Amino acid sequence: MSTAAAPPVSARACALRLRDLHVTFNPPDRSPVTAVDGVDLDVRPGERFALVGESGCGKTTTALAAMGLLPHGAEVTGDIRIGGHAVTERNDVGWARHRWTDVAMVFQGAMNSLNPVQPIGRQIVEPMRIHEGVDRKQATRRAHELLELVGIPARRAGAFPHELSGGMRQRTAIAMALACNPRLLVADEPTTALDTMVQAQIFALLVRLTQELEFALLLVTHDLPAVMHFCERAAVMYAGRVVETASVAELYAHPRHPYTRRLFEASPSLDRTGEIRSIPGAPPRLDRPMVGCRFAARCDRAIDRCRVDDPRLETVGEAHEAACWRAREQEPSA
Amino acid sequence: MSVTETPPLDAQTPLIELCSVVARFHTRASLLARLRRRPGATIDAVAGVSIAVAAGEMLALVGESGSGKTSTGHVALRLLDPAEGEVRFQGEDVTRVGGRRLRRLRRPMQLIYQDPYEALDPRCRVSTILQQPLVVQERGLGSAERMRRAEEALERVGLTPPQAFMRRLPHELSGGQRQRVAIAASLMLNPRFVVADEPVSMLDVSVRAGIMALLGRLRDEGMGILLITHDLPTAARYADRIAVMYLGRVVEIGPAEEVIASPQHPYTRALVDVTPGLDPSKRTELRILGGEVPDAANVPSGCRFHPRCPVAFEACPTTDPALRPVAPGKEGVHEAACLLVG
Repeated sequence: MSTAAAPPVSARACALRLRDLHVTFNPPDRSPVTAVDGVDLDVRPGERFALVGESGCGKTTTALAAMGLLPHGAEVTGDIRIGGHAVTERNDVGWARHRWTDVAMVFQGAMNSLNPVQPIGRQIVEPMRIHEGVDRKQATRRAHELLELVGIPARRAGAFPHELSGGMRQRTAIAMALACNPRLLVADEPTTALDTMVQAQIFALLVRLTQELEFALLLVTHDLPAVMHFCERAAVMYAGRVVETASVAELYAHPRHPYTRRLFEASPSLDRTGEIRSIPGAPPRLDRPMVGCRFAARCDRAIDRCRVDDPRLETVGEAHEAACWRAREQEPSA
Repeated sequence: MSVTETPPLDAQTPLIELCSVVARFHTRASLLARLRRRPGATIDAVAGVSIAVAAGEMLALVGESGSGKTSTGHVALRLLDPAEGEVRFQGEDVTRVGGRRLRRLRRPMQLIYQDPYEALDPRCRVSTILQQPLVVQERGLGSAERMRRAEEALERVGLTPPQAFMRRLPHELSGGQRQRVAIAASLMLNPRFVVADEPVSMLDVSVRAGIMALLGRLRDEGMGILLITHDLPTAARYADRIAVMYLGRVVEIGPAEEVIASPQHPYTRALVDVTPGLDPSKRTELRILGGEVPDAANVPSGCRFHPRCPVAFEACPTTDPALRPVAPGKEGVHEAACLLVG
């Protein structure tokens, strides 16, 4: 059940490869919640890949699990490979080998996670000193380069976070994440709380950086237009599962999972004139056993089989996978 | 038992009208500045805005944070006193109305908040939340009548059967259902004018359309709605008219379709240009403006947009342009505040 790939990329070469990832939380006095339930994912080197879905679908949990950043008590099983290396030792020492150098992260609201009492330049220097043992002089030089690269004049290196605008702070967070030249940057909703114009600036910056520095981007977001515009491939998540994955062009032109199709139909956009329809109902609770397809209760194409059998991702086209019993049928006329 | 005894509007009078309103805030000076006896800054969050909303119309106020759109909405509801200008409700000047008259004035006006998770008291059941406005504003009603009206409101917002929701607590509802309850609560007093401040931005895409369609239906029933949003596609899709705000000013106003299809102010054009569409095959390079919205305490001279404007010329830093029709015959229909317009 491998994620379709064209050209095929061997496991060794993937920037990130997840196989059968499960994440279960065990809240005290309540039933366990399986937030991620068997996710397979391949992020190829240098590509911009989006994990897209609505709140509670497990996209952030998947990203955090891939970096070993979930709280203690979260049960994580499955195969995680970063830059071709299997992460077998799931403890602080094991993860430390990968973080910053193989994979780095820009968090949701990262602009508010900077140290308020340290100049931004020094905050970028720190990971280089700790993780790569670079001497201070060299690290400072690289920090200045990084600042320029993200569009902040190097002379502002001495500025404190409160002296910068939200957009500038977000740029700083990105520069910091890139300090050790990671092969993969995970960005979780990197533009929420930023203004329209600044959002576009940050996305355009991320695109330029992936091209210039040749790292892969895993963008975690609910912002469908941003995914369609700035990414190359995407996986759509629903209720803890990837339900469809393909290039963004293919997803838009030939969505094979009804949920993907309905997501497009629910999104107002300036370039589409069709009717905007919401999806009735709500996602299933993840703390109860589920039978059949998780989307069946809200699906306008569900048949009897959907309520009994659980569909898994299957190849439905070139580099295109969907988890739907009816994915191979003729597309419904739009 | 009619709630609104106000006489019907004649077609000419807008429901709500703001005339050159200014919303002024005074910032507290820093300790150092106060020691030096320097006063705090004065910020005009809304700097001379004139808009009108008719019955049965949805006007969208679009802009980035700090553009003054929320303050404008608060002035319209008299939640914020304007430092200058006039607020008219159904043709009557209500700028200085206070006390009991203000409370009566507010009855036909409502605010729908952005966050349905915080707008509802977590300890109150839906039926209590819905009846509260009646308890306050219509003391004579019996509890059976209040219940009946609450159930009616739930039906109106699409929560059916209403009996299934009356006993629920907010945490037993989904985000979309919460926003529907919040809207139902605001409908209890049969408002004629509603300010909806980012009513869907906290909700998932899949339920947004339902909430917006509900607001559209209320509009069709004759309600005047001021929709405050930063999301251009939402405004384009659901509003009748769009007013674009920048740094406390309306820089362009006109019919929604026209403003999106042929934006006349460079800022509107920039907003349209950076709004990505959905179709990757139509992907074009987004023309992104540099910089960010300046601080309202340091408003640029002349046209407020000139430091970021791609087409600014020598007159822009010195001349503050007023709204002008974008073409002959567009007076009061499509106007923009730019020296290059008209």
